[in-house]
Amino acid sequence: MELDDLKAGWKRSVGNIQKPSADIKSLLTTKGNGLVSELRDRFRRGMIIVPVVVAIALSRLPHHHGFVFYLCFAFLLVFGLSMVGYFYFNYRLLGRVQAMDASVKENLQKEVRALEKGVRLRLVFMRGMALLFILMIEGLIHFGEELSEWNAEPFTVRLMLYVVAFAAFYLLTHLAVKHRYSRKISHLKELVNELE
Amino acid sequence: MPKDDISKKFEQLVKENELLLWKVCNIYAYNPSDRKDLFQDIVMQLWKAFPNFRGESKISTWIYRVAINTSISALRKKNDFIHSYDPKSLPVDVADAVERGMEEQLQQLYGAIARLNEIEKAIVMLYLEDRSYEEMEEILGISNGALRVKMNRIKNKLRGLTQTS
Repeated sequence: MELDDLKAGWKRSVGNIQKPSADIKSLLTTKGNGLVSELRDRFRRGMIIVPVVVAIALSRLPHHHGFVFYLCFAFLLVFGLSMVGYFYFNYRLLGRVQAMDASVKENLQKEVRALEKGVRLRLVFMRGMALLFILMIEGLIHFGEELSEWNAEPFTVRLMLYVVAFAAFYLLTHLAVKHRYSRKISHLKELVNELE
Repeated sequence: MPKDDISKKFEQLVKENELLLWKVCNIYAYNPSDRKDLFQDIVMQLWKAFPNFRGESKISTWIYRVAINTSISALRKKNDFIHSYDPKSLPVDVADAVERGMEEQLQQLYGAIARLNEIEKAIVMLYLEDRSYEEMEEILGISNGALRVKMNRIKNKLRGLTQTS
């Protein structure tokens, strides 16, 4: 049977499509309104929850070591602000992707760009946080009494270990993100190519 | 325009085009729950885009754009979407379709359509809906010439798929 033979059958059979009763008004007011919206809601919740968690953590920091306190305070603050920034960026990105009235090709291209940008940002964020964490450890052993065993190691040894740990983290994040998104992105690119 | 009027106008628009929306849902999702979710997603997207609709294109073109875009991007996010094909739950009800002898052949063809990728499905659906190549071009963003070439390829692919199944 050819596709053209199906035309007549299609016309007749679409009349029999089972249409579950859909109350448009209630559909519009239902909270769970699609995966993109759900994801947006998650980012919105993140923007609210992270500052609260960071504020609680900051209020519970022990005050007895002056510098250590400031270092931890700064780290938590930067971490919290970066998280909020990251959520906000993704929230806005999804908002742009949500407008679906462009042509299919244009929409797919937009989605590829948004995903690639999101992946880059996620990598920069995670690696930036790792670097900040290393800096915080160094700060702690230089100016505080913590991690004295680690401080006993020569700086070059520590530096080498930091480099190795960061390289491993770099590779791991690269692989994790690639595993999670590369299939999705390449599938979208394939679809865009179909429309070229 | 007051919000109530917009909402009534929108409701009317969705009711008038409900069948079109369900057709898109049936092409892209193969179980009742996925279809219902997709329908809701599409209605939400139409509602969001409705204030920006300036009437520069036909209303059906606009609805197809939103519906196909939503189907491709929203349902793709579900991991099981691509694998949710169930031969017993074909895109359209073929029980009453044409003569009983054709039922099996129709079923095979619908099964083959279900195996096409998202773009090919959109092209097939628009073709079966007798949309002009110009309108398809506007919906998909693909040139008229490329669309014709693509259509021939899809027909061959479907022929191959129905022969092997």
